[in-house]
Amino acid sequence: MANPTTHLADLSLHDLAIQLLDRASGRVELAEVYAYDTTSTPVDFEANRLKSLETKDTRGIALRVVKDGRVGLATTTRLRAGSDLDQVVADAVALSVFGAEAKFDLPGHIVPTPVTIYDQATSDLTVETMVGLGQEMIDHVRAYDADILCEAGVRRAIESVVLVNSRGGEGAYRKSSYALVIGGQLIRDTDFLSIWEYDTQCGVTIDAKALAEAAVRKFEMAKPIAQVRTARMPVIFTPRGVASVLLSRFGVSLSGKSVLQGSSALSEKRGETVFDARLSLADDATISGVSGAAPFDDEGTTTRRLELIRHGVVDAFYYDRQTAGLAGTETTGHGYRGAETLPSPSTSVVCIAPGETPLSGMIDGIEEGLLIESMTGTFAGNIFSGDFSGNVHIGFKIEHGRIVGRVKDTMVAGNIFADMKDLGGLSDTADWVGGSVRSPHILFRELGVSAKV
Amino acid sequence: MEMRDVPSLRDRLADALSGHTADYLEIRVEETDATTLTYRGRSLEEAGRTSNLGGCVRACVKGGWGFVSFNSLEGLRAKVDLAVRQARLVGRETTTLAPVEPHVDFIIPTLVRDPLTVSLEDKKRLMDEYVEAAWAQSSRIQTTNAGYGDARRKVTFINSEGSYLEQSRCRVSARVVVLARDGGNVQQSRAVFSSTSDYDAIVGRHAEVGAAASRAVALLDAAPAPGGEFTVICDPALAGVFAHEAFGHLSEGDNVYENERLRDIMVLGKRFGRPLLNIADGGVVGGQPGTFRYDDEGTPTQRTDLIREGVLVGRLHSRETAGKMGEAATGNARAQSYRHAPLVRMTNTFIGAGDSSFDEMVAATPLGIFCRDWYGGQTTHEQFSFGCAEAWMIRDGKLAEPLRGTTLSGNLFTTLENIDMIGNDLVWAEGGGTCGKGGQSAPVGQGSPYIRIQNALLGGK
Repeated sequence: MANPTTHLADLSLHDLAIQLLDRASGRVELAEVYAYDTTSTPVDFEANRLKSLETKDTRGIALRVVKDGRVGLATTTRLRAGSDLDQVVADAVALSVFGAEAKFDLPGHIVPTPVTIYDQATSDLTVETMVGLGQEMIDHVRAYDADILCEAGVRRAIESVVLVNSRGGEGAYRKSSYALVIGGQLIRDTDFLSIWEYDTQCGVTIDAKALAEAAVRKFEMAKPIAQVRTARMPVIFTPRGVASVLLSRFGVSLSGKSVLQGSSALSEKRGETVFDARLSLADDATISGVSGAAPFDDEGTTTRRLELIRHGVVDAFYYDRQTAGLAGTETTGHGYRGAETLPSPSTSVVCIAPGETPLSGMIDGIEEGLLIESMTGTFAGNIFSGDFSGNVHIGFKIEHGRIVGRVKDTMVAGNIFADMKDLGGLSDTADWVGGSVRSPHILFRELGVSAKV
Repeated sequence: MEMRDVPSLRDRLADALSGHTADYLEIRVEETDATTLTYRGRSLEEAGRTSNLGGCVRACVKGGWGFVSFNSLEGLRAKVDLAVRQARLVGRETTTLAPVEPHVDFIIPTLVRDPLTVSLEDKKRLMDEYVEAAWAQSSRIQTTNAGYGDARRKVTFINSEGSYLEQSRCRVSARVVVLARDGGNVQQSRAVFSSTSDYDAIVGRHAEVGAAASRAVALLDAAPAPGGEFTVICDPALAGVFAHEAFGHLSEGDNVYENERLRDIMVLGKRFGRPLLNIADGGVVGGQPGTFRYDDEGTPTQRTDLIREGVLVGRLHSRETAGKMGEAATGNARAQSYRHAPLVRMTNTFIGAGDSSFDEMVAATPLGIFCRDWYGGQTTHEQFSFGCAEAWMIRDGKLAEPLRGTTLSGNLFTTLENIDMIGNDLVWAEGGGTCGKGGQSAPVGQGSPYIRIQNALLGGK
């Protein structure tokens, strides 16, 4: 290493951000520093027993500048001495020559939405407690069937964010996240069954035993194997199925960036009825206790609830500052960034409104159909077209209003625009899927199902 | 490749490792420098530079692991102590790591034309030309997403058994994704260029960008692929993904070593395919994304035959999985970065060449589908699925009408047996793929000849 006189490691995150901002400010028209510090301590169990304890500290900083009207970005985790910060400034300025024309300003005041995303109890969790919770979940599943090879995780992370800019805007927050995961693999002959349950919250409010019990119920439901034929039939997506298969299609179609580029199939559909009148979808980073929530986005815009689809009508698209500037509109507070990228439009916590049908009633009404929890391969294909297609991973056959067993070697295909105009219904309760999605069960009247004979 | 000179690092690392009571200890330190140019449509949207410095300590005590990662290299000794304490809390058994001879080595890649010697102006001009080459193809092109990236990575490794390794790597890539649109019908295609040693490898390929744009436009008029079971011919790029997803993951030792039932299923000597099928993996294969001399535990890489003449003959290992199974380490312990402990994973996986030509395979197929290029893949071990970018019907032994991309799916235990023709030339997919596993991603190489699969399941309407 070089021989630093001051170690940047000794600075608080705020002081580090200010040091970088001060070095940049005089040389550019606009400067913004995003600094983060994360400590995560995952406790992981494999093959029924404790496998590893980890402590991961990450500290990094990103500098966005506007110079001669153009945007430059440099990021680093190489934070030893002041000269490393000078290099970041030099890189951002050098890159700005090639950057996009800036179409945004930065906020002189960062006004946080009041939202609770830090829980001291999560910070205070001891490793011993975490190990105990993991073991408790594994014991519960193995008490049901000792042939299940279990994996479990009890994970805690504390994240600090500081955002400062040369307009005088300053904001900071701390977020805690706590996650439990329990599942396992059950192999019989050449049948591999993998079941997983997980939950994430800011506080230590997840019931480990209930989560393990949910996994047990799913193993029990999945034990019998049911036959499927190639046909069109009604299909219910569980909240997890909605989150993992359908939402990415909505995400790209409602993004201000896709709309600006014309790659979204909804580009010219704002104000039009595109979906079933019972479908309403919002993004809401202001829900307390949820790990996807935040008081402001990654460029200092106050977060707020945004209705994207209201009763089937495309109501709004989501924007960051630069995209909004290009599109001649205002940011919606959806400028989120990776550690090494500029802010870009992204959802935070997606909420689909519940409908009016109880789940049991939905299933009762199906003579022959499927209930889908997860699929593989759905990331493939052409996401902009709204098409989805994949192999059912965890899914169940419904016959005469009853779930009769798990399906295998079954493909399902559909399109969110064509097949969600007239839905069979939405369930009357919406469930959380991790910390970033809340959705009801959604019933498609008919989707293409292909089965291996 | 010139990286920052760190004369005292080796001594500092050795010092931090000394005097602890653990069965095994290692430290990795990683430095990366990367530049990216990202285009939306015709304009450059993001020009960015990223540098990283970080490290990690991994300790093993009585079979239990402790892992500590960090960005500041100050106070290394305390970090080693923490990893050892964590490992001690976990360890209840015995540490069984397959033996690996200690190595001291310094790996510097031989670069034909180092991307760092090329000005950013030239890189931008090249990308501007590629983007225009795409737009010039048709008025039905809706937009393009393009990107340029180059990265250098240097990993320093030391362990408590006397190994000390410094490995540097380089990668340069360019990609252009083209979206064509007709009303609500949106189709895409792409061109990807990549090299681990030569900037010029991504230069002068305008015609291929134009061809990708033409394919996207042609897909607008293609019919959706049908669903159901078909005889499918996969091009080398798609077949490479197939080898990775359909079989490669199940050959990873970490899935098997503590799973008795899976050990029974994956027993060496078991037949998985016909005698024409050969599948192998290896970090020693030259010039691919998964090519490196030593893995992230300091084990030299090798070529490992997985299936030979249809029969399972090997699997991929870390030192731990090899030790527990009484087999030899294969150099397949890889970590995404210093933030992660190594996992057992593939490097460059390929299907060996057979003796059929592509024309013979098509001629021998009365009714089927020819699938070309790929959009990702996924496996649940038993079942896998992967997406193809475009397809054609095969009727009466001839290529017929074009089809849009679709998803193929299958079952490991039946699909490998259903491979009944293999082409006579092995082709590596340029740029390879990015494999996700256990929350980590890693670049992998994928190679194959054309292959024909009977009774493959396609998702369709």
